[in-house]
Amino acid sequence: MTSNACIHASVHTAGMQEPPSLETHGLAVGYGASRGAPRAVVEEVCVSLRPGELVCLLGPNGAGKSTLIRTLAGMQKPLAGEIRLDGVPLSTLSAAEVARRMSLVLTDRPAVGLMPVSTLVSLGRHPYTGWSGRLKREDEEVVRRAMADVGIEALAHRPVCELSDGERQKAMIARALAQEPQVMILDEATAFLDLPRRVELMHLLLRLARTGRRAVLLATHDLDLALRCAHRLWLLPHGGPLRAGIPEDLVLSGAFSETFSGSGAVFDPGSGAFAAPCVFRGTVALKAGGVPGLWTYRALERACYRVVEDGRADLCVEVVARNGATAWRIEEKGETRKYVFCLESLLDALDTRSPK
Amino acid sequence: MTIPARTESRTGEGMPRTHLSTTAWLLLFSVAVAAFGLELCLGSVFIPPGQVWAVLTGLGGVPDAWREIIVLYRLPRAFTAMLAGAALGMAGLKMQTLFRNPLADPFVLGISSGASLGVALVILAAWGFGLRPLMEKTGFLGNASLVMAAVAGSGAVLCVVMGIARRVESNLTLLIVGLMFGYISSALVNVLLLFALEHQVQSYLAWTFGSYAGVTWRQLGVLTPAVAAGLALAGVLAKPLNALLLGEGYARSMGVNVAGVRRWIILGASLLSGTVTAYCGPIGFLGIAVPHLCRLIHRTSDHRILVPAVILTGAALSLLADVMAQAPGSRVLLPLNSVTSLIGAPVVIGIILRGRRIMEVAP
Repeated sequence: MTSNACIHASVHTAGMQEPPSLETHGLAVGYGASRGAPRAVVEEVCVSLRPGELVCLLGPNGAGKSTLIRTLAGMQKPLAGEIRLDGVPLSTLSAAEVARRMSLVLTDRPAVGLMPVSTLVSLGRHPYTGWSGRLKREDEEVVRRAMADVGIEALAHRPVCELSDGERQKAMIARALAQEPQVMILDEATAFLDLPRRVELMHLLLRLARTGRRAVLLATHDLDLALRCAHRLWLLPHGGPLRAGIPEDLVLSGAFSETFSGSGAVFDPGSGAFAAPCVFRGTVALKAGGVPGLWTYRALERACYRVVEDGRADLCVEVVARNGATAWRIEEKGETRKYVFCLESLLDALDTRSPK
Repeated sequence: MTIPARTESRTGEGMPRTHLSTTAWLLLFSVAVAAFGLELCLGSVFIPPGQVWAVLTGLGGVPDAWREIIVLYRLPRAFTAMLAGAALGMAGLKMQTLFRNPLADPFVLGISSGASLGVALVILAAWGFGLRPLMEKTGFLGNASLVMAAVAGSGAVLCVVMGIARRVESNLTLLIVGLMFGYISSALVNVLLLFALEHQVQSYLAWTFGSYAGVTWRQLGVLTPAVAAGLALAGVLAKPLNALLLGEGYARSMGVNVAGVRRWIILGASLLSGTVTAYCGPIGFLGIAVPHLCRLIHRTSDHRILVPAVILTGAALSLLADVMAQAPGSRVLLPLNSVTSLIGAPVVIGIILRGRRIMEVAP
C-alpha cells in the first residue's frame, strides 16, 4: 500500500486550489489496531479536505462512517496509511497541536449542567491557555467572535442545561470554532434536530466554511440536505470503497444509488430524493406547468403513478382554469372523463379507475 | 415558578449571580469560623468562648486542665475536621467529574473498602492468630496500628486500581471494577467478623463510625501535607477537569492527555480519601454532598470556582457535623457517620427536589 498507488477520487483544476487542510493516503480504518486480529472496515481511503469546503460524509448505517470520523479526528489509530493535517502527518503532532488545527462536534450530550454558554464556548480555548485555563483578552475576543458567528450572543449567560437541542448544538459548534481550527469535523451533529433546525445548522456550517476558509466535514444521514448544500460528498457504501465528488456528479454516475442500494429505499435521480419502493399502478401523461404542475407531479409520484410522455399513457391529466379556480381534467382515450378541484379528488378518481 | 422572571435575572448581565456568589462565600466563611469556635468550646466539658480565646491568643488566667484540653485535643480535632471535610469533598468532586456520574463519591474505586479490610485484618485476624502479646510488646496496637493498617489497605487497592486504569480505556469499566473491589473487601470483612470475638467486632464497628477525635499533632503532621498535596493537585487539574465535563472524546479533541490526567485524578482523589479514612475512619456523605451543594450555591460547574468552593464548604460542613455529633447539652457522643447522613441527606434531598435537576446539576 504505497501512497503513489493511490489515485485521488477527485480531479482538481490546477492553480485554483489551495493545499488541502486534511488529506489521507491509503488509509485503512477499523478495529483491533492494538490487540487481536485487525478488522478493517474501510480500506484505501484517499481523500482530501480543502479550506472553504463543506464536505458531507454519507453512507448506510454500519458502513464505517463513525470509525472513519474517529480515525480522522485522531481518536483511533489507523490500521494502515497516513493522515496529513495541514501537510503534517497526524501521528507526529501532539494532542495540543492537533487541537489547535482541528476541532470536533459529536452527538454526545455534554453534561455540563449549570455552566453558562460563554464558559462552555471558552472551553474551546483550552489548547491555547496556560495551566490555569485563564483567558487573555485575545481569548475572550475569539470566544465572543465564535458566539457571534454562530448567532448565540444572546444566550451567553444562559446555563447550558436550559438550552434547546438546537441551541445546545450551536453552542457546541461555537466551542469548536473557539479552537480556531482549520478543520472542523462533525459527527451526526444534526441528528435529533427538527427539519428547520437542521436546515439552519447546515447553512450555518456552509457559511462557516466559506467565510472562515475552514474545511468542514459533516457525517450525516440527511441525504437530501447534503445533496443540496455540500460542496462535495464522500459516499461510503458497505465494504467501501469511499467515493468522493460533487453531489450532482455522484448522482449522475449512479454512485449515489449504489451506495444506498438494498437499504429499503430507492433513490430517484429524477427528483434527487428517496422513495419507498412501490409497484407502479399505471402511467399518466401530465399537461401542466409551474407550481401546480410540480405538486401534481409529486402527488402522482407518491401515489405510485409513473409520469410519462403523452400518447403512451393510459391517462392524461391536465391542469386547467375552470370557473376561476384551478381544476384538473382527467382524459382517457382522447375523451374528457372528469373534472376535479383538488389533488385529493384527483387521486381518488384515479384509484377508482384502477383498483389496487 | 415564574419562568420569565428567572430567565430575566439570569440574562441580566450576570450581576445577580455574582452578587449571590459573594454572599455565599462570606456566609460559608462565617459558618466555618463559627463552627471552628464551637468545636473548641464544646465537648465533655464546656469551655466558655472567652477562655478559648485566651488560650488561642496566649493570654494567662486559664486553668491548666482547660488549656491542655484545648491544645492537645480540641485544636487538633478541629483541624482534622477541616482537613477531612475539604479532602472528602474534593475527592468526591474529582470522582463525579471523572465518571460523569452524580452518584460517584470518594470511595467508588474501593479505596475505603481497602482501608476497612486492612483495619479488620489488624483488629481481628492478628489477634486471632495469637499475635497479640507480640503486638502489645512492640506497641503496635491502638490508634497508630489502625492507621497503618488503613494506609496499607487503601494503598494496596490504589495500586491495583491504577494498574487496571492503565489497561482499561473506558471509565465505566473502571467504575464497575472499583465497585466489585468494594464487594470483595466487604465480603472478606464479613468473613473475618464471623470468626471475631465480641469486643473485636465492637472495636471494628467503632472505627467504622468515624471520628475526628484521637488525631494527635504528630499525626496531623502527616495528614496535613497529604491533604494539602491532594488539594493542590486538584487546583492544577481544574482546567482538564473542566474539559472532562464534556466527556473523554471532547476532552481529547481539545488537547487533553486523557490517560495522564485520569491517572493524576485517581491518584489525588485516592490520596485524599485514603489518608482521611486511615485517620478518621470511613466518613460517608460529605464526599457526595459537598460538590452538589457547591454547584447549587454557586450555580456553576466550572472547576476553577468549584475547587475553592468545595474546600471551604467541605471544611465548614465537616466542622458543623462534628459539633452536632457532640450533641451539645448532653453527654452522648454520636457516631460522626450517622450525623453527616442524618442531617445532610434531608438537606440535599430538599435542595435537589426544589432544583429538580440532579442529573443536570451534576456533571
